[in-house]
Amino acid sequence: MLASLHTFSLLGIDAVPVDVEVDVSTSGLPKTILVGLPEAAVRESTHRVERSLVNSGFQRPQHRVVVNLAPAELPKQAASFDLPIGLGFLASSGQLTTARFSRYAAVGELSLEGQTRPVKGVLSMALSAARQPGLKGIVVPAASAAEAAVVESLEVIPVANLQEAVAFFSGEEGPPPQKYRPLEVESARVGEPSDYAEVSGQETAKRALTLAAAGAHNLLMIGPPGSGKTMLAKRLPSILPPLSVRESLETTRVYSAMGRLDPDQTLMTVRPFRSPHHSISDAGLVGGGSTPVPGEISSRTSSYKPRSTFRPPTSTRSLLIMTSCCFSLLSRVCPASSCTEFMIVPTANRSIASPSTQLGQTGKRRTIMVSAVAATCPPCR
Amino acid sequence: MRAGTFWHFGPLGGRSLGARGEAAAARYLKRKGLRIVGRSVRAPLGEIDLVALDDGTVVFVEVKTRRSMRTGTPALAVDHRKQRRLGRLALHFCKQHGLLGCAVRFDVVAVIWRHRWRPPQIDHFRGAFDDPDLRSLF
Repeated sequence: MLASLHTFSLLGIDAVPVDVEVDVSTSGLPKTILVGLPEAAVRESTHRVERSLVNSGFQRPQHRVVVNLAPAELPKQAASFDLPIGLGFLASSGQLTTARFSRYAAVGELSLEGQTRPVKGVLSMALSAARQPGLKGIVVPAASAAEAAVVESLEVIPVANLQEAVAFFSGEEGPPPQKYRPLEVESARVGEPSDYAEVSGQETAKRALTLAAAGAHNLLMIGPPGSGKTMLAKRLPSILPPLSVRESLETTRVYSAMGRLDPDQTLMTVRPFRSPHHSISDAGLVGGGSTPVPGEISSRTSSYKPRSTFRPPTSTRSLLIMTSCCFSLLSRVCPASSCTEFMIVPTANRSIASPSTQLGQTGKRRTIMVSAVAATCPPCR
Repeated sequence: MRAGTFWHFGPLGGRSLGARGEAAAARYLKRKGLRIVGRSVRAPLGEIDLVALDDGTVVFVEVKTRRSMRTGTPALAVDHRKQRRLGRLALHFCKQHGLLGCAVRFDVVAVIWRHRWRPPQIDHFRGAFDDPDLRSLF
């Protein structure tokens, strides 16, 4: 018997609709085959699913099972396929009716006990589900429900374990849909760790920072050690304008796709501030990889980079490219893009505007590029 | 009379431990309601210990016999390599007998024969493993 379910796979920060097809046939040698470019975490999911089925009181199909994740050429990562594969197993072995499969999507990781575990990028998946014409709602792990509930035009069904998901899909009145409560999100706003008002003196630097923050300009700070460059840069987020709803959604999508969102946080309300180490790689800063991953400057970041003179020229170049276009292509294998609006605050110790005696010719070229980053970036809004 | 000479799966004494284990396993499965249709089925790749029918399911049985549990249960000896060989043997058997449309199962029977003249301890693992060869078509 054949069962087909809707689910989503993360590609960069976007969620791509994926169909899970499970076919159980009684003929042929018994084996479980998983096809559709599964990465390691997805390939292992059949073992997790098998045990969680048995431990939840269902029967494991003894026959030949073929699981297909379509579209076939898209690489599937993360363990969010456990729940749809498990439901597909049950439906195709006749332990579950498929009445609601066409109208509700499912995502979730399963424990061996049958409990659901939170998955990365639920917000992107919910946004993508809301855009799908046939879909009425999405079944998500209870721990990720608050995040998905931000999307208002979608029914978000939280399930704590496999049995609840089975009960919902077989037509019972399951748990009530999760409602988005913006007031709670507002009250959960985290105070900025360091306040700009604490700075006394440094009037010129403060004026420069204020101008830069208001106009989303980049800024280069030069000064001897101990003059307060880091101290000022760390307090910059507290005078940046608050995130708009659209910006907040985008930032949350990046953090959620990276799995860096706090479990009790539904939306990012504070503009993120990153201070990557100066030896960070190109891919780490900008994002990339064969399975695309966002980098440090992805999406509306203000980023503080100490000692910019030590950056290799290629990084500076990729930063320059990023500042000139708002969207970046993260990977050449899969076309994934990530919105990058960022403000960069590099710092340096010696005056890099004068030709450095140690760095020589290449040093001069770097100098020009860094000051170009600092000076010529219009706000990308 | 020596023990075990009465049974029609062959005498239980006087042969190698493996052969006696196979006979004991066949007797055990028959008592559980399976129909034994082949014993020591030879193919170019090797030998299937027992082939049985269980309600329309073709069951391929690998029997492992040991004198002690010193090296763990005998079923542990049915490793990945052996499973793959059994999968290919089963495929060969099904093709030869026109059984490709049937449901198939792989069982392992562990026989622990501590004392020669006493009945052995028999563990039967139903559906012990799936065909591990993912590249074959059937």
